[in-house]
Amino acid sequence: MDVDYYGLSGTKRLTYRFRRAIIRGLKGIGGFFKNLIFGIKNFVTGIFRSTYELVRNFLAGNLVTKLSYFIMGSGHFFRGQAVKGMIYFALQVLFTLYTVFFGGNYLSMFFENFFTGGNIGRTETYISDIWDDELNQYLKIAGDNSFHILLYGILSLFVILFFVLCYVASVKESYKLEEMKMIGKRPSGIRKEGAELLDGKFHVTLLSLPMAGLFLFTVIPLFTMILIAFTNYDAGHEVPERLFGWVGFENFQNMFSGTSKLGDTFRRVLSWTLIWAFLATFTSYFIGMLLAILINRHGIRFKKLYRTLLVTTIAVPQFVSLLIMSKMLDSGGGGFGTGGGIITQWIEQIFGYHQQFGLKIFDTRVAIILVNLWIGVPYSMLLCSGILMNIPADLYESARIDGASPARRFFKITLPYMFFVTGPYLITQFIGNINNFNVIYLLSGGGPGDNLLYSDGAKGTDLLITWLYKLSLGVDRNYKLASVIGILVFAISAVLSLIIYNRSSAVKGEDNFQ
Amino acid sequence: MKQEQKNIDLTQNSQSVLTNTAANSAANWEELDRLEASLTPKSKGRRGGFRIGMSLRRTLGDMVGQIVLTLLSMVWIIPLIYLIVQSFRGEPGAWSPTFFPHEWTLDNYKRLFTQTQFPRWYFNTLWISVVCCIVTSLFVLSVSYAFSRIRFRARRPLMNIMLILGMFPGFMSMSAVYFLLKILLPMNYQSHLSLIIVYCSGAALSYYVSKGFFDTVPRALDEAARIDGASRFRTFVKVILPLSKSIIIYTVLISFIAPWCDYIFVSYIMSGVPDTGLYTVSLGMYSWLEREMIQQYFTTFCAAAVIVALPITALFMWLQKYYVEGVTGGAVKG
Amino acid sequence: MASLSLKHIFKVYDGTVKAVNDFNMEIEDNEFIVFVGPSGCGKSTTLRMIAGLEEITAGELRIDGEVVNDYEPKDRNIAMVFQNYALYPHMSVYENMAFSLRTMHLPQNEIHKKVTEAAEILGITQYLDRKPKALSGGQRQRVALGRAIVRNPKVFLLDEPLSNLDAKLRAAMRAEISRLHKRLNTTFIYVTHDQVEAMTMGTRIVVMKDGFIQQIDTPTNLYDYPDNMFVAGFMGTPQMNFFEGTLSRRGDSVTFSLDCGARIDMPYSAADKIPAGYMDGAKKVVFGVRHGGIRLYDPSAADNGEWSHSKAVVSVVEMLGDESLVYASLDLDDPDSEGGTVILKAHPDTRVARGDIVDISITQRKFHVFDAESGHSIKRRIPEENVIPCDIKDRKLCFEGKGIPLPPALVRPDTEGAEAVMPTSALTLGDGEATATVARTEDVDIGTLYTLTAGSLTLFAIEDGKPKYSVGDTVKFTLDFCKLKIDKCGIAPPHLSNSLSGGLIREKQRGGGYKFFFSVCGAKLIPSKEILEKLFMCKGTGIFRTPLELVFDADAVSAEKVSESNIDSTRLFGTVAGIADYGYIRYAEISLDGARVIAPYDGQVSDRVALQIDGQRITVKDKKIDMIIA
Repeated sequence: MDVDYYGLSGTKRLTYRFRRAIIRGLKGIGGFFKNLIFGIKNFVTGIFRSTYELVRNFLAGNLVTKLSYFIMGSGHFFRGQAVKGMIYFALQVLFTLYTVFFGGNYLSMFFENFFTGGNIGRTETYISDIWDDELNQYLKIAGDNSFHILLYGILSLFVILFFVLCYVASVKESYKLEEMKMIGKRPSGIRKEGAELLDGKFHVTLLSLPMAGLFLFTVIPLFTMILIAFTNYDAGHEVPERLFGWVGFENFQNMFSGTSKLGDTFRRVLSWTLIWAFLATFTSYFIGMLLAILINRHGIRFKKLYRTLLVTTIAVPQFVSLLIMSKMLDSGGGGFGTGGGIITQWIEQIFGYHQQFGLKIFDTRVAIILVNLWIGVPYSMLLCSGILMNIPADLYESARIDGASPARRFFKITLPYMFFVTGPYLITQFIGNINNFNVIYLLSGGGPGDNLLYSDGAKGTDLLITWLYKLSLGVDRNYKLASVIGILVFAISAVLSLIIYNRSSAVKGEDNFQ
Repeated sequence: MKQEQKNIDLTQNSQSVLTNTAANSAANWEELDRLEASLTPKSKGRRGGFRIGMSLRRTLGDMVGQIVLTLLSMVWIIPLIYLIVQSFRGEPGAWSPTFFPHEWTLDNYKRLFTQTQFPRWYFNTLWISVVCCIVTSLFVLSVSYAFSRIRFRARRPLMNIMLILGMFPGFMSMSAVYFLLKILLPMNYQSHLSLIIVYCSGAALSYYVSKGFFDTVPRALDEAARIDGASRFRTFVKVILPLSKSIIIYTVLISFIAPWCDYIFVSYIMSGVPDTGLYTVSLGMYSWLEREMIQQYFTTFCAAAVIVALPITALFMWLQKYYVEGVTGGAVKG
Repeated sequence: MASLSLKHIFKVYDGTVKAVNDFNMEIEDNEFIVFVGPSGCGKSTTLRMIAGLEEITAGELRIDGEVVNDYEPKDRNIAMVFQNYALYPHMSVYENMAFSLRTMHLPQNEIHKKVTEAAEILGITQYLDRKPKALSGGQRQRVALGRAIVRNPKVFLLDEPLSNLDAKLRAAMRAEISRLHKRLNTTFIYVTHDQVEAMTMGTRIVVMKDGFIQQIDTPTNLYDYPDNMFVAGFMGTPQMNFFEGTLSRRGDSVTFSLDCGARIDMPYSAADKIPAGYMDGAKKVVFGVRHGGIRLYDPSAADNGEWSHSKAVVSVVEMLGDESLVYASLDLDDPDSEGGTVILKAHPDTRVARGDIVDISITQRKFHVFDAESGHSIKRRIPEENVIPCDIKDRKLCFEGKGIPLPPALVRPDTEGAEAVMPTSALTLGDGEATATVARTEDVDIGTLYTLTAGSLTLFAIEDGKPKYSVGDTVKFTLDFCKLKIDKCGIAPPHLSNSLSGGLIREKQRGGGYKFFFSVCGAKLIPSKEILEKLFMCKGTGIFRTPLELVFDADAVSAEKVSESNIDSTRLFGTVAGIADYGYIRYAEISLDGARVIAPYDGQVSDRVALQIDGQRITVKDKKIDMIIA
């Protein structure tokens, strides 16, 4: 911030700051892409360097080393690391078996129509002309399962990647063993390598299992689902009866098209998602902060009691508290549709207004945001009181000596400090609210809404994430659209995260921290 | 004045410490302790403030605050009280015209335990939670310790990849997970094991809060342990973990509560299961609120909700301190 | 109880940033070594390398003669005390101290014995069951010391152990640690940024800056004979007074003309160790004197001719109780300018005030002079070079009426008014054609320093052992012409250090096993076994892919005329491009393809010669980051 800033008037200051914030955000995104390009460059040069090294080692190495290029682990086996050698060899055998009997077939089908478009798999399930006496009908012959091909294709790709990494590591090690022998060093035995797993290579022990779980049940499914966005997988192409196939960017075009009903629905849902996330995040943040300040006030008594009463909403499982809220708000429309929610009654008695939760979109939305306050305020209150206590007391004392009023102190000290410290939290919270399935689904179930305004199962309070849920579990089984929505949610989250990324990478410097 | 006098005395003493080389050292150390005790202030006096003159405004403010807080706390717990009183309601049906029931009864609870599958659901959830919380805590602590303390080549890339993975809505890939489970556990893919796998497999992604905590544990401790001859494993188990009580409790608490609160994953995995006895509480209780069931089961639902919420709430209240520490630490570090 | 040897220790971060640069030191058993320097100077890094917490990038670390580079910290027999104590907060004092013993799986009773013993030494017996949190800073410090003591290490490493303590307590703890050192009879290495700690505790001090060792010496020598301005300024409080200026000599008197306008006169004898080249009144020097060397002029004090006088204007007086510090300026016109500021100690009764002009006395003995550009001391305890104003006449080097015949290599046309410069070691007493009179003998740590006079000329010579000549003796001396430099007629000492680029290669041998060679200019030099071991230790198998630079002295090369008997692949072949004859030795400059080597050779220009290089005497450098690796 340059010195000129201090000479500006109030409104100009605001625009100045706004411009700076935008520039900083753009810089963050730019920085990310710079790093990305840098990373890709490193990756590519790494591959080239590795290849070069492998060729060079092959030419320079002796017979055993050369043999280890074809039979993995042979180098280890003949140079004093027999157990490791056998593990490598077993890996090679397993990989070969996997590829020959399983992966190869799926991979070929996976890539068959990948670039040209068309079905994934070759034969659909069909009724053969063989008569089955027991069933009294022609036999059904199972065809290919597109989804399996997709899943196994990805799995096989990762298996291949994993194997290639192991292969490269093994032949590099093999050559290193040769060189070590050359300079008269003995390779460490299996017992020492084992002990290393608890010491020098402890991270391998710590990470292998969690990473394996992550890989199998997060990474592979994720890639599969991303690819489904480029297929026509839905109820019309339901596996295992039917095949589905590659359609390129068709689903995205449909989703973004300006004229179709779907595009219209998407824009409505997206804008509500963003409005919701914004309101939900900031209302509960500010009210939580005010509440924290209030509770931390010097003269207030029964602090602990208030705090305990307020945080009960965090402690009670959300499906309990939200469902009971939904019941209390019920006005006979959406939700459980029984009507006569107690709060609805109270509002009618006190304000004379018959609120129509679950019937009118506006009422429902307002109610949802209010209920979210009930859930979210205690959380931010806890957080803020923790941080408020960290604000150096002498800041306030010096402000008092300078004659600043309480309001001024709040706006000039408390708020900036809180924003500075909780900035990342706000953004994560915003992302969390974009994906806040529970509050919407358990309260209103996404409703109300009608087919004139919305298509494909979406309704008035649906977020992208609940729409995704409905699409993939609804009668249409519209996986392709669900997947497109998932990717879009990711894109939004990613852009926001980049802002944190920029901030924290610039400020943190974790390695220098200690 | 007196204090000053004493100080001077002690300085002289310390000088004798410097010069007296032959004396036995234990006496010297005592001198040293006394010297230090005299140097550190005993207790800080109460800080004077700006209290006088502002007192009237303050009391007024306090009163308003007190009233606001009382009102708010009441608003906050009304729904929960409603839940509790409804669970004792004698009249049947979902609709009730008044906040408090006309007829109080324990029948809902009786019915819950005798005529429904609730006890089974409860037990299911409990054991799933226990297993998940053990596995998840181990995963999270291992991953965060490794990322915080050990510098290995793949560290940065892995952390970045996990950051990106965490941005995809977890639910998005549910159907692929479902198929994977179908392949891995062909006989009983709609089982508790599946649920455990689903809950635990992504656990590593939430390493961030505890990594932030480990980052604040001085690295000199690891180094001291290394000099003392401890392996990394021993350092982790004997030095770092005992220091990390708060973050361990936070992790355990969060991962224990998660299965109780989850609806989305369990509803997907268990969709279409004929045996409702396999349900967890959230799934089972949600089924009571479907249109056909709600009239019959609403009060039972409330009773069940009380039974579910009580231990969780108690646990949470008991360990609240650690929860707050974790949340605050995590948020500040982003 | 251990000696340490650090040879060419380097620490390089990220392949480019050198945190520690060519650290060389021999530490004797039972020494108390202090590493001192500003933050970021590499002192802690060096300590951590000794501890094994940081990897040594290159170099050799021996503890008790054993190379420990690849050892884990626990196997090095060291113990370390950390700056913030690094006590395990969840363990009691007892458990803290027993932790390492438990890791070693010692029997319970032995652990108990060791812990209680150490606790007794440190007077923490009554705190054994407390947690560190319940202890004061000083007590925690002692627990940290105790944790080190129980292991009975050969070397104690202490990383700024007192920096978190209160100043008064620190002084007391300092004494206690010194006493502990005496009691334990162990080698201590102590890192601090506090020069007072360094001066009071160390038997020897290593002053570091920016990863380089500035000076290694005893506290008194560091204080009295700092090698450069950094050391002079860093050691001692208040800081040494520095004034920029020039030097000029007129007969027997030398004048410092300070930039601030003041002048200090003193007899030449007080400044004779300063090389004559600086006496020209133009070259910038920095005059340094500690506050003890400057005092207010006191007419009643005995002034035995060792004090020069000047005037100064007082700016601030600090009363410290038993003495006063007077801040004054030698610049009478502009007292607030930086250049002439001087701090001096005065008697507390002295009544001076701001603006007073006072007479001051400046010592003629304990002052320092530095080259303003490089900061190196030019008034060394052992002068680095002799400078002789001379003429060249009739193939003779003539000075002060004497003529020494020059060897053929140095024959030049007659020149007048030249200046011969040679290192002090080039002058050998006892024999020769020139004579001089001994004016002074001095016992310096490495031998005896003679100050000689020949006419108006002052020369220095250094000889091993006790003085062989006494003041007034006339001695003969010779010059080593190989070290002579006369700029005016282009005489320069031969560049006797050779450097060749190459790499390490291997060759498989018949019947198994490998042989290793330096591949240099098409030849395969055989490295010594030690060098190979060091290379492998430093670079592992990566050594085969590291470009190397081989550095060796001319004397390590033996050159022969090519004949049938000496044609083999372990020799280099080249042509003699030139010969320099220094009388007692002849050096040939031999050109190889793309490189030049200097070697002693008795032959003719354009001879084809075969060179053999002594594998023992090669220094190997990593060419990429200029780092000695063997």
